[in-house]
Amino acid sequence: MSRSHSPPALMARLLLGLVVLVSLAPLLLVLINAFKPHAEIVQNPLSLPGSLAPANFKAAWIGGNFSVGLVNSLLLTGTTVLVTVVFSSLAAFPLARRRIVIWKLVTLYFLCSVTVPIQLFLFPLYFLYARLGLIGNVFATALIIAAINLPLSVMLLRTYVLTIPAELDDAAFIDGATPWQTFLYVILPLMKPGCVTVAVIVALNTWNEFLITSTFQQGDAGFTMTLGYRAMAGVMSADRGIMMAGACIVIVPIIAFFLFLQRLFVEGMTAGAVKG
Amino acid sequence: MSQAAERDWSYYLFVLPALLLSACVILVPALLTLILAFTDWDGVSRPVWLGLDNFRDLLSDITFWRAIFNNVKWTVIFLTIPMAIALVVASLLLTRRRSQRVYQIIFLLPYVLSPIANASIWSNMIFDQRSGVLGYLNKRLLPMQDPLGHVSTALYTVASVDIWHFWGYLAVVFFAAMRQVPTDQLEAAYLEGAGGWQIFRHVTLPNILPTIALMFVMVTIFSFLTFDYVYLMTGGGPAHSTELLSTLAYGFAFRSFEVGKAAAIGLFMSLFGLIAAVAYVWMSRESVRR
Amino acid sequence: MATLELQKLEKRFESVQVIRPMDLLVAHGEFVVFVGPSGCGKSTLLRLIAGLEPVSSGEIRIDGKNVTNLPPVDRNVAMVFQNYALYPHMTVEENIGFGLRIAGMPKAQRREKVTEAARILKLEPYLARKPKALSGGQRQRVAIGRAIVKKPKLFLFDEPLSNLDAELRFQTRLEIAKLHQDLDATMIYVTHDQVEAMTLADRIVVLRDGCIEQVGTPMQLYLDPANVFVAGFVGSPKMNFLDARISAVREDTVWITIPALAPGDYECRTLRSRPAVGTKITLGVRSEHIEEIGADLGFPAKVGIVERLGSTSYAYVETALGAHLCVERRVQREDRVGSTVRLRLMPECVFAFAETGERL
Repeated sequence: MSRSHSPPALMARLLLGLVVLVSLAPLLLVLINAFKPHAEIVQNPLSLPGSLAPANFKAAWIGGNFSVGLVNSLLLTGTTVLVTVVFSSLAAFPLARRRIVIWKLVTLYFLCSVTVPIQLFLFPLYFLYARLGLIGNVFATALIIAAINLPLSVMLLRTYVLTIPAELDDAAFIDGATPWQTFLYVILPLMKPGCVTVAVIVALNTWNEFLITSTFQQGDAGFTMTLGYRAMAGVMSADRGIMMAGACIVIVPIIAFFLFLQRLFVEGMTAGAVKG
Repeated sequence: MSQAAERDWSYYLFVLPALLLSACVILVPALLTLILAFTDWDGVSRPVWLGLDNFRDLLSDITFWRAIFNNVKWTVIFLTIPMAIALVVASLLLTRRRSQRVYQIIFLLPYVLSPIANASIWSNMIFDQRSGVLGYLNKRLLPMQDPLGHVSTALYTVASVDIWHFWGYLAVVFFAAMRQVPTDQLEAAYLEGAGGWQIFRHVTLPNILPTIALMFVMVTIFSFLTFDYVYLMTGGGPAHSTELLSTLAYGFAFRSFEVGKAAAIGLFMSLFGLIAAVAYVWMSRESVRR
Repeated sequence: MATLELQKLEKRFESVQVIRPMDLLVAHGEFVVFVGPSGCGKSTLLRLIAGLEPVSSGEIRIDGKNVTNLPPVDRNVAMVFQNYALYPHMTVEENIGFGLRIAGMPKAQRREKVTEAARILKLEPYLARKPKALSGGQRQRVAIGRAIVKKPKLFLFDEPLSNLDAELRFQTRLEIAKLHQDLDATMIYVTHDQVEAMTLADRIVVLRDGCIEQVGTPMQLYLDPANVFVAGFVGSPKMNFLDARISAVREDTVWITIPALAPGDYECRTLRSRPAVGTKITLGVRSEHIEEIGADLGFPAKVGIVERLGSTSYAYVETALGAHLCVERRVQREDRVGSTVRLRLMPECVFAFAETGERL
């Protein structure tokens, strides 16, 4: 009993409590203020809402053009995830199995491209897309985001394939399987958990992505949910209540998605950084 | 021998889609950027060869140096504050067996939210003079100015929002690393009479050093690339006090249409990133070998 | 079944010579064991025969056909791996039938063949299970089932028993021996355990550093080793080795001085050549060929540790001049630690090896 009340233990609890508070407070602020009319917020942003009327939310949904934004976000995220998972799982197979120097160079290329700033390729790419008329094209933008997510996905899946014993490849080879058959029937089924992790991480990155999306998805019709919110926040800045309701609409799906799959997130995030 | 070679050939097809996409989106434009840095281009008409003029202009532009300086400040801030908090909190989590998962979720919430949402929340609900908490406090309790509007505090303010967003990731990574410390080492130290802090310093810390080092390099690289929060909250102002290389480049490309200058800045950004990247690649090779 | 022929087979990994030019002929239906210490190249050799690694030079012929550049599936070989290498996400039935599926066999026919193989190995109740729901011995049988369903010309086993515990190892060893009899198949088996080699093999190939040291039946290797390495490798406990010198050469026997035993000459009747007097040799004698003898004869030795195994005991003795020997004691005598016994080396059973290791 005395151990948990000792000064260091108490300090630890205080610190953790403080951290939790700081982490959650802004989100709680958004929540309570989403239900309040603007005047009330200005009066006292910390007060609890008088009623749980959804008026702000309705206005925000329309104002932020979220019905269009939702579709665009889903299309963008879906396409990016699909392209990334397929391309990176294919690439991870030889990178994990083959040993000649070329593969080391390819691995090196992917490792290095993680560190490339978007600004290094953004500008020519933008003007190229403009000339091709691809600005605002959700699928074209998805390719860019997929390309950015490829290196980490490839590295992650490569580590995953490395845990599959090479003996299985040998057994399949003796069974007469070609590399493609080995990949399809033996390696890919065993990679499924890794692919799911990659899909989850890429989905989150894409949904939240800002720089590329805002540069390439110009024009209202192409806005994703987050871009729609930003436009609305700029225009309707006069009404904080609606703004916060909009923020809620943007945040809640992410939080729900995250809570549902949090184990996969943590696994994916720590996979590259921690050995074993 | 020919059979082995044939198999090799089909393996190249596996990596082709990824390489092709990466080359088209990243490699080729990056090479173009390299060339563009030596030209004057507005994105529409033909580029004009300038030689080293862009670089000369930048090096004599005080805003450019301001931006570099800000990036360095940002890096220093991020290498210290969030790392320290993450290490401390992660080690605190080690003993809370049942609530570990819950704490991790809470810490990660700011990390998984969109920067647009986060920036908006902090700008409007906290810093804003009219509707934010600080504004409220200013009116009722203490005189408190808008930290985003002041040259001396703006950068630190934006940095703190990004710290709020980012530190959870570090905490989770460090926590995972700490959990991997072999228990027999911990037990041996405990049996020899070492206390909590000593165990941390002599057993835990050396074991997670590779992870810390990796995070160090990652944070350095990303500090020179950081864009979102600054762009969303201050746009580089007030008076370039929050201008970073990334926002400066963006401005040159899409506001003043001096794409050549933007490209040149892009090169500078990669230079810093490349130095850290070499360390990153070297280190992950080392750990893979181990 | 089929014959296997290796002609001047070589394997280099980058600049390291792993298999030196090697010739070998395995007959129809033989059970041949490749044995040797780790790093000797036995697994590499097996992989070359299987087609998992390309050869650097030389030829491999199965049943007369040159398969050196053919993939495993065209060589008609099957392999049983050390760690079973079962596909974890497939059922036992799918595991066994995978090769047939790749070959394009229709499902009904596949099922028939798989069921037959499962019956032979008593795996029928497990066909719908996944490998992780099976015990080690069952998994090994599935691995064997996968091999036999293809009706291969050659069976290859890569240390299949290493992952099993002692009891299971014994049982599975018997099963493999029985399988060999039932299928009348040509089998190549790799192990580092010389007991497995001795009990299973028709012939043993002893390998060291990529070279064949000796090929022969288990008894040939035991009773007539070609060099000091084979002599020391085969047989448990290990053969006793002593430094010695040729002191005299007679018509049908040779006299040797062994400094560490006791002054005097020892007779050796197994020499196949006539080396010069004074030649330095290594003398080898097995523990069962050192017998006790009456007082004043032979040489004295003090008993150190005694290992009793029931029907046999092994006494570790030391002579006054520092030689250490392991002596087999069949008689149920209580050898007391510290007691002195008088021993004699049987002249028909001692081997002389030159300094190069060759048998003299």
